[in-house]
Amino acid sequence: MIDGQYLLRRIGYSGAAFFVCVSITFFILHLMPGDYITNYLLSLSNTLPKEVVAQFYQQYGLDRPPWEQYLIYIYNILQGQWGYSYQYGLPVFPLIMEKLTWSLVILLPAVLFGIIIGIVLGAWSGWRSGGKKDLALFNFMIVFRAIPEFWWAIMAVWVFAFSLQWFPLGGFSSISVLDSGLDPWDVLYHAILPICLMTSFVATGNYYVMRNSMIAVIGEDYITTARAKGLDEHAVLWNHALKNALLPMVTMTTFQVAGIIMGNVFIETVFSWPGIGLLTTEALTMRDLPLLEGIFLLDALMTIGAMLVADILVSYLDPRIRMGGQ
Amino acid sequence: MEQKPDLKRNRIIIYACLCIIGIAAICVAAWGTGSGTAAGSVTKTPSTTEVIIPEDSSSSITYSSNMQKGGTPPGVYQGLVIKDLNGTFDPALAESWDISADAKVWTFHLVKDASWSDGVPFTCADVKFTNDYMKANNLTLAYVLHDVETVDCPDDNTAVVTLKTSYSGFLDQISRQPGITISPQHIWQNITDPQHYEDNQFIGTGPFVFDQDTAGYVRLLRNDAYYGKKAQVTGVVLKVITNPDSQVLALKNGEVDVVSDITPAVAESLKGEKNIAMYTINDTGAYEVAFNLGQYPSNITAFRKAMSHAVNRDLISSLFGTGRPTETTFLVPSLAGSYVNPADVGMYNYNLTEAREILKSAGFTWDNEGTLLSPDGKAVTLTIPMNTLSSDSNIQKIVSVLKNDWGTLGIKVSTVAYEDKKQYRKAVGANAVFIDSFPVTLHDDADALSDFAVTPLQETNYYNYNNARYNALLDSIHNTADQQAILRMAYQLQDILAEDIPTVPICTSDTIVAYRSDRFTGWDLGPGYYTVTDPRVLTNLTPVQ
Repeated sequence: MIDGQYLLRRIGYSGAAFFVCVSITFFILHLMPGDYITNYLLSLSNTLPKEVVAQFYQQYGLDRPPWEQYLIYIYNILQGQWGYSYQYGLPVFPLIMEKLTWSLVILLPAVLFGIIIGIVLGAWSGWRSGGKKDLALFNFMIVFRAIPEFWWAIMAVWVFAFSLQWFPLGGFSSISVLDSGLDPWDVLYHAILPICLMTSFVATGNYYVMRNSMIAVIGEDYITTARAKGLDEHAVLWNHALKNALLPMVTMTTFQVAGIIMGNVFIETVFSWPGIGLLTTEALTMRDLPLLEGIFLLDALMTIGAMLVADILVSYLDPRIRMGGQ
Repeated sequence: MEQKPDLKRNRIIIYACLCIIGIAAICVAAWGTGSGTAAGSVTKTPSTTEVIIPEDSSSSITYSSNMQKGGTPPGVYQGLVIKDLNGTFDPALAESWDISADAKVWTFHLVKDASWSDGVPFTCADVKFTNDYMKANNLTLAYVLHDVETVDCPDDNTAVVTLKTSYSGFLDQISRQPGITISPQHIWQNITDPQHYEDNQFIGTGPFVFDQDTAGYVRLLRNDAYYGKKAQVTGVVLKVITNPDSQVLALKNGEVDVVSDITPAVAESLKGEKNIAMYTINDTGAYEVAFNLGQYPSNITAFRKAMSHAVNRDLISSLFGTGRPTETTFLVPSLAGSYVNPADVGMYNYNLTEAREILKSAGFTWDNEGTLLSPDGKAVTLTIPMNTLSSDSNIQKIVSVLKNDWGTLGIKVSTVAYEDKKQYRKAVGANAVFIDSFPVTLHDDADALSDFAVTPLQETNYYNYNNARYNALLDSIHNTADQQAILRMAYQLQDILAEDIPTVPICTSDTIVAYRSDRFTGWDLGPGYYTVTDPRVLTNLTPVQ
């Protein structure tokens, strides 16, 4: 159960945490060595006149002291102004939203399927822990997880896209988009392979947590009691063990869903998927501060929101947990 | 009582099964649709007259404003001239030009029948507007026009550019990448915030017109109203493929027509592939061992001279797998041509014994362990800063060869990695030796020798080199349009460099290009055409019948 006053207080704390996150992010980003102006101008010429360089710093507001830049940044955020990307020259918020949408196309189904598959396989494996099937599945998961994501991605492209030609090599649409416009079926066709891969990665992580949680639960007294009452194994598994073993998963899965905001750099690079992961990498390389600040701002918002949701969900799922009140 | 949970459980299982079957059905349908039509059109039957080129990043294709960041996409915008091989210039929007004797006034005779892709005629007013507007709005590339005092238009087809000070390298300045492209006055004069303006029309004068930017593709169509040599391909499609390996697979599959800048190892693996041919664009990159004359021991001329004989450029070049050793003082012969002073070629020969002798005569000694000691008895150690963000693995190869050779001379060489360009530049200023890579366009004419000068506009240089005679000679080069005089003075500058040795050129590198020989011919135009998206390359392509 969650107390109303506690919930209000919790929301207030979340707001404060968000403000602290935004402030820390701002200063960390500004403390990073290098800046956009240097990176960009050095790519043009080694010997630019000093006054020209100074003019660029002034133009981007980087000649002001950090505290002044910070105050302007906070003021703009409160006004709903996320600024303009140095690199793209476009407003940050629509740019992030566009890329985030494309990330969601592959990551949302991948995370959802990964959570479901991970929970089901983990619960089954934990329930039968020590058996031959459990050990086989457990070892398979270890091997799968031990090999880096990008290697699997490259191999998937090689086998399924290049050799078998079942799927496209990358991108999110075929060249026919230039004549006939964006076709949702075509986008889905391009998304299947990255979704399958991402699902596998997410499922393995969830599998471990769920398996361990289930192993811990099956030793509990209430499981013995349920069995003693004469319930069949399926009823014990589904109605008693699984429900309790799911509790640690709630926090983990809410973070996974919040983590979607950062995209997946490996998958997006290998499959040329124009998502938020690639955008973040590009922005970091170029030191595109307004864009980075925007991405981290949204990430902070999502993570803090997810923590709040996790708290509420856990108190709802487990009546023993009482938040707030006496 | 036991029935209830069972029913509930079964219902959940049925719903889950239905969901999975539904999702599987959608995927199968998408797979069928994709493999049967849309993707099939990419892999099996690409347009026979539209060339498809991969791009590493969508941000490299289009920017919010061409005036802010340079003339992208390729072939749409044009400058007054376009740089050609051997330090000369091809006409573009200027069909010819005259220079005043003091290289201060440049008169450009503009092409008469050029028009913007929306049909508005191109005139001198556009040239004047581009200069005035870029400066008035502090656009990024306005620095290139820093030396321009005024642009006047005596008539529609003549642009007179007056510089603040004489500058014979002006053409090089406005045409060197990214250069200055002319923008249409009738479009931009109404735009009050060009730094944040999203250009989605890309109205240009070039051989291609912008069609659309959709879902990871940018399509350019042939400009049938183009005043110059018209393209034979109907269009160019730039396709975003971020992974270099996937670009090569796409070439093999026939999804793209060309892949540039492949490694020698990939080139080797493509040999014998059906319908894939390759060519090499020679000398697109170059490398040097540079000395910071403000730091010990590089401030000792004899030390630099000794080191100039301790660079095994043949071995380094062979490790690269492409390119060739550079035996000049600075300029790259294949592009600088007659600007290279033949008297200074080959003077930095690799000879460790000679290097040792020079060090010995300058007062350097060796201790019992073979460590080189400076004339004041200190052990000579060098730290070479490395920029880890650079994906150029060739610099690692250079450093490993130098470590070995300089180690035999008793010099302990270490490296420090920097992830950021600013920090790296700071380290370059604080250390005696650094390795530099650069595009050869910076080493292709007399103007390139200004890298070593100190001028009122350039208070210092990369090498902390400051030679009054050198500076005066370079100033004289800037003040004359007489090519013979420029050549003579360029030779003298190279003689000074050979004497002072602020840098030791090592070798060049090439760009390897692989293309579908069953789709288009005409890619290889020889040295000087650095990219496959050069408009002169694109207009030279012919579809294979």
